[in-house]
Amino acid sequence: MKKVKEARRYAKALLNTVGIENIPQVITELGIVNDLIVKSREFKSFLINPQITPDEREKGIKQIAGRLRLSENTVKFIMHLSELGVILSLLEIIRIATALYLEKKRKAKAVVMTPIEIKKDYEERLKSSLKKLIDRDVDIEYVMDPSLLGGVLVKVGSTMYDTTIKGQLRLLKSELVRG
Amino acid sequence: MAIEIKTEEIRELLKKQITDFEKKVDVSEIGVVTYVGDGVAKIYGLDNAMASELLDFPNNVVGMVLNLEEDAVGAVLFGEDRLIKEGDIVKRTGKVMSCPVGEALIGRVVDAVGRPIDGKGPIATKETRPVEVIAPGIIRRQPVNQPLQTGIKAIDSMIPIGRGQRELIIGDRQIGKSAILIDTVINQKGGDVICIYVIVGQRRPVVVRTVDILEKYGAMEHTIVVVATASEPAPMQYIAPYAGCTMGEYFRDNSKHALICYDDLSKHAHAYRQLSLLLRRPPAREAYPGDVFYLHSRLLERASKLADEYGAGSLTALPLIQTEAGDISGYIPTNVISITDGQIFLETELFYGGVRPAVNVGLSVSRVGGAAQIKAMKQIAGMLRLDLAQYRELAAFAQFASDLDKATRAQLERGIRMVELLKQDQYVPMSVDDQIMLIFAGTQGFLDDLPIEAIRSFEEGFLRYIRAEKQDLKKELMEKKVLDDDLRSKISDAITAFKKTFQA
Repeated sequence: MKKVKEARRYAKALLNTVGIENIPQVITELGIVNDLIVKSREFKSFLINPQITPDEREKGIKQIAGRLRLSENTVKFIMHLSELGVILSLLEIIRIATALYLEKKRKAKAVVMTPIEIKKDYEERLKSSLKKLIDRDVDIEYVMDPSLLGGVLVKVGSTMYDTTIKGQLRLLKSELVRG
Repeated sequence: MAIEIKTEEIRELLKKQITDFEKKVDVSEIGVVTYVGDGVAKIYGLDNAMASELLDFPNNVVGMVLNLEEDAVGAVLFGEDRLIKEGDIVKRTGKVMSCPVGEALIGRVVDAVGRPIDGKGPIATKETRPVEVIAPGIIRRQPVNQPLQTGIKAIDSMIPIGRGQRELIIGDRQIGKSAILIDTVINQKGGDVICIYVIVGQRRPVVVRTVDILEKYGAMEHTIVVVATASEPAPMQYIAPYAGCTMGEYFRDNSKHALICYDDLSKHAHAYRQLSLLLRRPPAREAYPGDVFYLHSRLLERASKLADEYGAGSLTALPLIQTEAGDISGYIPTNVISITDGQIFLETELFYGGVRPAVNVGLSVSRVGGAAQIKAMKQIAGMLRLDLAQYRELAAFAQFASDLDKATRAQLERGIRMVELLKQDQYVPMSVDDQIMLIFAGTQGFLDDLPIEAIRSFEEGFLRYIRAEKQDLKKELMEKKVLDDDLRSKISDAITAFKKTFQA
């Protein structure tokens, strides 16, 4: 509970200092850093180990930032977080910052799952009908899952629209069991 | 007549169902599991979930929302938590937890959600009801006015229980708490009371033994056993008493009488404590959460005697609490004592002193049961209570005195005989007319000249004598239900007549 509150605070601060236009870029970059933290234990301990002095850490982060071509904003934010020892909440911060950003832009993120790749014109239709449905601009992430057999499954926020054959079969099964 | 199952028909039926199946978009609200373990899960999302709503997890596991947080919900799982993993999608169902109710459950052993576990096949119930219900309000109730006979002399005479009452049974481990419940259930045989026996947090062998005993004495014919053993997840143990109560309420609301035994509520509180701590609710006294009082009060408040306009049905509750070393001032015991309409306090010293049932008459009370007692019992119980109270006072004092005057000695002797008379074997509940006649014999001094060792055999012989030769006296007593002078003299005559043969 406390962690969530803390993360919300940092996410808000990030949004205010970086400016709304730069947010998408910063968030993607933070995502890269977070992946690195998850993958490399050395990097993680480098960020949180109290034996490493702030100067050393700054140098190290800058070097890595150069390699990853991170923007200045991101580097500053990472350094700040590691100094305060809250770098491990980065994932939570990214999640909240994304949500806040989408809220501000009146946008929503949707995940569309289909068994086969879908065509461009279909994508457009999907986008416009989703916009009508939830009254927001939609960023769509496409995921392929052959196990769905047919139809589409759309997840927007905490609502799921399921028209897939897999889902229909599940409904049919429960109906038959109920008798 | 054997029912012929035609495969043709079944196939047609299935075909019809499949063709009629309407293809529709399945819109559901979802969340993502962010933490799972120890029977609880934390779910991100599910913005509109309501408290105590049922959730649909993968692999047919269901959960129930207990905590609503800023952007997550905490839920308990009614099933294996190993089947759930982080990242799984959880759906809202919009329903609350419910369990099957109805006549078909009688004679069966079911788990906390009403599924049969006795291997006797499926239970054909038509109706289900929500597990958590608000207790009936004051308009729907009436004061307790009918007795619920436990068949135990010490209880029916001095701590009477009425239908719709909540009477706590409290005491240390292994001194016959469950025995009182089982005897009470057995005593309802052939009567109009349906029993629900809820077993929470006990070992499985205990469950098997209890069901065996009930079967052996023919008590399963009017009993439902609801089981959540110690090996089941804490959420099941938490929900079992509520499910049992719902099953009992069905009978109450259909103008019948039901008795529900909770064996036991200390284990239930333990299960709830476990859940609450895992859900990170702040611990209070003895690490129980702040709402542990409400946990039991809302359960026991559902026991009630309905008003005549509402069918006059009743649900009597006999909760059981286990104490540590006779300490009834613990957190859970004091809570439940204050919720119930009285308590039956069992004592270790009495039990090992050979007084069984080990009821401490001084500490046990029934706050409302007196109104439900039949008149004849009330008439003799007053004397009995007085005799025993005087005996207790003198017994403590007499230990220091070497020689006592005659009156004191007589009182002591009377007391010893009354204590002896109130002893009773397990699984032999006694009808109320037998109880009245026996206690009458004791309080009127008919036993004073008998040696103490002879009291038990006198009791047995007398009851056999009455059954064989004085059936009409029994009948008259049950019809009049009051001890008038005529009846008194008739009973006295019967006792004197039997005593002659007994001593000879």
